[in-house]
Amino acid sequence: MENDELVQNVLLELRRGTLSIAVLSQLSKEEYGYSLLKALSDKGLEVDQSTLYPLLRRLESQGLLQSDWRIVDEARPRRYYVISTQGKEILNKLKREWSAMVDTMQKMLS
Amino acid sequence: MNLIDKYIAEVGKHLPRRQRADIEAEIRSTLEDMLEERKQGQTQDDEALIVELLKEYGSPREIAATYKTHQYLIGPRLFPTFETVLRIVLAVVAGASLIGLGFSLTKTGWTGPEFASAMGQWFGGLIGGLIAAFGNIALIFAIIERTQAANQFEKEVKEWDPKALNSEPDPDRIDLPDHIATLIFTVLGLVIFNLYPNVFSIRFVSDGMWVTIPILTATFLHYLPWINIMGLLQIVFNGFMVRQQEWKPVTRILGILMDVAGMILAVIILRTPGIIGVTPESLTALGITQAADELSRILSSIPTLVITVIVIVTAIKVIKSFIRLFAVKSRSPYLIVK
Repeated sequence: MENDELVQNVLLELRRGTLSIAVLSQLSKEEYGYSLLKALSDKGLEVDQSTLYPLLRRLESQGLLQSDWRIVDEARPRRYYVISTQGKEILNKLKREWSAMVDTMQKMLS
Repeated sequence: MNLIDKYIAEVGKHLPRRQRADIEAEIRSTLEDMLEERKQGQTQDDEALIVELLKEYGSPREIAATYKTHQYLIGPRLFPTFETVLRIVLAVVAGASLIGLGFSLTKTGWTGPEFASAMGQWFGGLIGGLIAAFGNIALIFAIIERTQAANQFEKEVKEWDPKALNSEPDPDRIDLPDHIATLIFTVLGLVIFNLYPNVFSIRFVSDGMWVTIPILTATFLHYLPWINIMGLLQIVFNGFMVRQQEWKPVTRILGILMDVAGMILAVIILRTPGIIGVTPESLTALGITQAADELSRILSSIPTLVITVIVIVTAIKVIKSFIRLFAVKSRSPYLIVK
């Protein structure tokens, strides 16, 4: 396996692990799939639609998100997602864990 | 129906029925949002933009696959159990098939077109049997994977107690009764073959007198030095193992070599013509005409049957030793003589 490929594989695993936290953190206000995709991209996190949409469904089925179909401003119907109460609790825990993990990694890598 | 409709219909074909309409609507909404954005300031026609967009979005099958939760037949939780069960069942199927082959070879012998046909039939049956066993086990595990049974498995994993390891047999420990029995029977066999070869004989009363026909001929006894060498090696090896109590890679290899050598010697002896003294002629010479043919036919089929049994038993023993030899991960590279 080439070095580049190995790096890409590890990065993919890293991104996969952090994506749920990123998505939950961006849904304190309602977003539909495409607008969320752009919000993440604006903050530097490029995600494929094919990764984001199934993730949104999974988080919703776990009770961390709520969603409903709506027509806003006479546009086409869109599915709007927002974080649930349980999602907020989980996100807070995950934020703490993430900070601890970042500290640990910084100690190791510095 | 435009290209987006066709694309969504194609994705829908591969989606779970329950979520299909919802997922289709969401993909449509996203695609239309993306298209609208791309149309701004573009001179390309709609068709070309849609083609480019769909190509970027991904093939329908690939997109549908990302929505499926079960992307595997048997998951990582059950896979080790699946492997163990599969190994055992395939070994049993192969063993049963070999025994079946043994029986059919006693009828056909070891040469000729009947032998070739029996081998062909056996091979076809074996492959078919193995594939069917594999398919059935995979099906059962796929069902377990998708039902509550998997929760039971998780419960067992959680409740696992390290103390349970004490009741697990040590695969490197020798089977002591087996080695002692081999020792005793080898000694007995050597004593009988060397001192009392006439024990193997047919005795009956004819005209008021006891008549004895030795079953083993001088041709058989011609191999006695080789039998003695093998027997003595077996005695030394089994005695050593009883003392060692434990298998090491070196002793496993020695055991395999001894088994194979013993098998080769047995096959050579049993395939030698004239090792059995009971023939239609010898019986007729003694005035036994009734059933002489039948009796000698039964006796002459014994070597083939014995060869078959020896080959099967040795093959199973050797395969088991090989599996143990390569399956044990942490092993000492040297032999400790106690």
